[in-house]
Order: sequence, then structure tokens, then C-alpha cells
Amino acid sequence: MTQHAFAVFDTDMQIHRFCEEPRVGAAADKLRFERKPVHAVAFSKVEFKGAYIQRLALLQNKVRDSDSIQEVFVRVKNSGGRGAQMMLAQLIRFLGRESLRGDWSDTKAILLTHLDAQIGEAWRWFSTNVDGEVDSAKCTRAKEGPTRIGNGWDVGIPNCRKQNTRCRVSQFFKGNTETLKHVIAILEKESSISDELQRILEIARDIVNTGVYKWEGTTCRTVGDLLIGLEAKDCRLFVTSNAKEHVLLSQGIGYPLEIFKNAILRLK
Amino acid sequence: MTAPFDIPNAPISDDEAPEAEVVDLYEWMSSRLAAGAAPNGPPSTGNASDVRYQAPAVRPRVRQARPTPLDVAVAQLATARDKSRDPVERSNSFDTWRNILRSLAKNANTEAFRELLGLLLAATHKKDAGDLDDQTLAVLLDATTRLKSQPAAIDINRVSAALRGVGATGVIPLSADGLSEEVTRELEELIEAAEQNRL
Repeated sequence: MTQHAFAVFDTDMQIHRFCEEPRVGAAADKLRFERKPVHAVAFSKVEFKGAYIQRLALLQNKVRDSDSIQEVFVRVKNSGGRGAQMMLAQLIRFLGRESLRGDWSDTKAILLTHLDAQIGEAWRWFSTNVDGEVDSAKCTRAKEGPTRIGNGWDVGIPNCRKQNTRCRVSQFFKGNTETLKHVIAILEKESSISDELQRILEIARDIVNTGVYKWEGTTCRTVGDLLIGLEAKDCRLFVTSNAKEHVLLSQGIGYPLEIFKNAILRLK
Repeated sequence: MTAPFDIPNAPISDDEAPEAEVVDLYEWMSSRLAAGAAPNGPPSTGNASDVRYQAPAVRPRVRQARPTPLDVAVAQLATARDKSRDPVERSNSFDTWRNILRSLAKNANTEAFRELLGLLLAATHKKDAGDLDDQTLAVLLDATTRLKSQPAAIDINRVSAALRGVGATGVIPLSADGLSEEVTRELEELIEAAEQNRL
């Protein structure tokens, strides 16, 4: 086994770098430069699109279709929950509440301008603010960025089907059968594991026992930690704040782990 | 009729036409032609060979094309970049540039224009001319010039890369994970105010 010289930042670490809180955002950013060279796994872009970009697009859609700031917040809460509401509140705070008082059409235009720019820029940032990308699984979905459609963006992540996917993830998992056996052994020793680890255990058993990975649909997104962990197998260091899954996965897969402890609160 | 019109193609200064009446060039030429005269010449006999060019006794002053807000923005940013200027002037010019971009956001009618505008506003949020080096100001000037000619996606990618190249970012940190209790409370108060329409 050849160990790579780079560290790998998990998806959550990249998202933490988007946090205005210095003990999270600035600290994650600092770590990225201290652990240089840092790579991200291509599949992380799929997770980033689902966790961050889609929320931005939701805000943009609700702002565009609302007649008042009051209505925007209600609609954002109904569709995106408290996390999306907090994102919008952060944007308003960033721009300055005073500057958005007054006519709704002006406020709306300013918000749309910024949201429009953030969707494109956040996506570009994700790929360019690391030193490289690991893409052994060659996921088709990871190559699909937000695309312009009319006045907005298409930020959807389609279900994988034969018609829209040339899936190599299946081959990637099969090529890691021996490692998956170690993962199974580690997870089976635990008396209690998280829902995601339970799902990972089932999929790993399926691959080892049948030699088949049922890739169609959204399977990869339900076992993202396993996929990212396997891609990071030979890295110098894997940095994440997701201890719950990666402490056990790192034992099974064998990557050195660094837990970023600054981020605790998770909004749903 | 083909006549060698003397069409001033550049605005002339007040010194050059001190007594001229301000006229619209099109109206001026139309009225001259309607009167059967060659521009600035004697009444026509109807014979093309009679039409001769004569220098105007008084040159009309052309109504200068009004500069667009983006023309002004480019000029203001060029001033902000000019190190021979007083820092106060540079700072004011930079703020004027930002104000113009901000006002343009209200009428941005193409997606790429809006995206580039938002990128520039975010990258220069709470910044002053003095905070930015000449390279960064050059990138901003180039980007503002791109705004003048219907930017495309490739322009946005180039500006984004150029901003990264000078260490600037157009990303606004909006992740809601990991916020402190203090910031969370502040945001909750903002949400409550917005929900009651008293932002």
C-alpha cells in the first residue's frame, strides 16, 4: 500500500469553512492550511450540493416568489426548516438589516443578486479551495454542478439510473471487498451503532456476499461516509468532525483520523 | 443626394462652440435637409453638383451621450485605483462604485449580470479602497468593464478565478452549523422581527 502525501478533508470540514463563527470557520480554514496539502473526495461535492447548495437555491426560490420578507421567512421555514431560516438570517445580517429596510422589491432584488452569486461561487469554491481531488470511484453525479435554468438554478441530484449514469462506484466497491470485510468485522463487534453505520453494514455485507452493489437510486448517498472513507484509504490523514461514523470506519478501513472538535451544533 | 456631411463625431467642448445652441444632432440634420439645404450650405438648387461643403459658421454642439451608471462606475473605480489621488477621494470613489453596483442590482435583468454583480458586492463587502491592493482593484476594474457588455458564464468564471488569484473571495459564510449561542440568539431575534414584518 502506498500512502499518499496529502490529507483528506471530509465534506463537513469543507462546509465548516463556510461558517462565520471564528472557532468553526476560521479554525477549519486554519487547519486546512496547517495540514496542507489537503484534498477533497469528488463524492463530497454531491453531499455539499445536497447540504448547502440546495438550501441556497431554496432561499432563492422562496425570495423570488414571495411578496414580503415576512412571507419569505414563513415559506423558508415550511420548506427548508430552521437551518434554512438561519442561513437567510445570516445573509440579511451580513448585508446589514438597515440596508434592507424599505421597499420589498428593492430588498428582493438585493437578496436575489447575492443568492444567485453564492450558488455559483460556493460551488466553484468547493473544488478550488483544496489542493486536489480524490476521485477513484469516478461518480457521475459528482461531475454535475448547479446549472442555469431560466431565472434560477437546477441544483437537483438525480436518482442514478442506467440512462443517466455510467456507474463505476460499483466496481470501486467490489475492488475493496477485503477492506469491506474488515469494516464488517469492526461494526459487528459494536453493540450499538448509528443508523448510517447500520445501513453501511448491510450494504457491505451485501457486496461481500453477493458481489453486487445495488447502485441504482440513491444508495451512495445513504452510505456516503463509507464511500468517502474508502476513497481516503491511503491518505496521510483524514480530517472530519463526524466522529460518530468515522471512528469505527477508520478502524476498519485503516486511515489515520483527526477529529475536528469545534463544531457541535447541527441544525436540521 | 449624397452630400459630404460634416458630422462632428466627438463632443466638442464649450470653448470650441461658445455661441452654439444645444441641439440634437438628428433633429438638426433633419431640419437642415427639410429646408432643402445641404448641411451648413446654401439652399439647394436640386442639382447634386451644386451641393458643396461649407464649413459651418457656427458648429452645432452635439448633445453628449449620457454616461451609463456602469461608465460612471468604471470611472469611479479607476479613480479609487489611482494612487496619486488623495486617500479620501479614493475612498469616496470606491464607495460610489459600490453604491452604483448596489443600485444596479435592483434592475439586473440577466442571470449572468446579476451573478457577477453579486460576486463583486460580496468580494468587496465592508472593504475600502485602502484595504485592497492594486492587483485586486485591477481585477475589480476588469470585472466592472465586463458588466458593461452583457457578461456570460465564462466571464464569471474568469473573474472568480482572478479574485481567488489575488486572495479575495466572493463567498459569504452562511453555514448554519456550529454557530455560537450568542449568534444563534441574534439570528433568532432577526427571524422573529422579519416574521412580524419589522425588520
